[in-house]
Amino acid sequence: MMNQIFRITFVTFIYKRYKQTILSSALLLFVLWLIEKVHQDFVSYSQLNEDTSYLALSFGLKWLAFICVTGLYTAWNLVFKKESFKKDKLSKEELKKYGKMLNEEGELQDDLLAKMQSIPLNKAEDKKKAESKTKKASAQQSSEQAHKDEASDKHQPDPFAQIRNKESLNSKADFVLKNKRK
Amino acid sequence: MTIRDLNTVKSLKAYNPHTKYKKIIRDKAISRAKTRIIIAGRTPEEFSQEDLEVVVQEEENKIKSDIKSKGLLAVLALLGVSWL
Repeated sequence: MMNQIFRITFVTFIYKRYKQTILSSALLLFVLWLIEKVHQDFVSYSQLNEDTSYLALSFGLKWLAFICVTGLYTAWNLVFKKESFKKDKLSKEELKKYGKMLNEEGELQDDLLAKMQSIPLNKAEDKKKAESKTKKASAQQSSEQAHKDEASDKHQPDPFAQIRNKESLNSKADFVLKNKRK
Repeated sequence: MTIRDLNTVKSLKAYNPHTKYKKIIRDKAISRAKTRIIIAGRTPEEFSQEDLEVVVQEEENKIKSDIKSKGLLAVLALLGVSWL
């Protein structure tokens, strides 16, 4: 069930995305097949009548038709398709529909630039000022705290100074034993 | 061996990896001991040097046993014992 839904969704997506290419390719194949059929009929007709005077010309015409149809197909898919999707050729309504920003003169604007311009300047400046104020205040507080801590550390002697430099530390049991010996 | 040579040996001792390792463990033990004392609602100055030494020694032992157990776990993890 889910697989089928996925398949249908995928096919629909592909068809919608490449509708023009798919339809034009089908049309090209049909036209090529039709030309071939017509030519085959002409060849069989000329063989039945035993008149082969236009046979060579028919082959030339067939290949010319093939080339013309293929050329039209290529032109349609490569040139006309690109032209139709050029942003400049879209109407203002279409541009707005696709979420594009237009300036006062109705020209297409850079999306990011437009978004930046839409933010009010005062609001942005206020935000920046507030951020810098809070940063400064916190930096001052932290530096004062650090200075205080340093000063207090300098004034007070380290009770662990002796322990820091000792080679090995004694446990409570060691101290008890030492005291007993004394 | 002259006195100057002895001084050089002493100054080089600080760069010995074993000494460095011991110093790091000692510092960590001291900081843990400080925390323990503060949690108990007292200050290190209230204690005698003997008491402080005992506390720091206990913390040092704890750190060493932690390192051993963690090292064992790391080796077991490397060997692929996932149930740990």
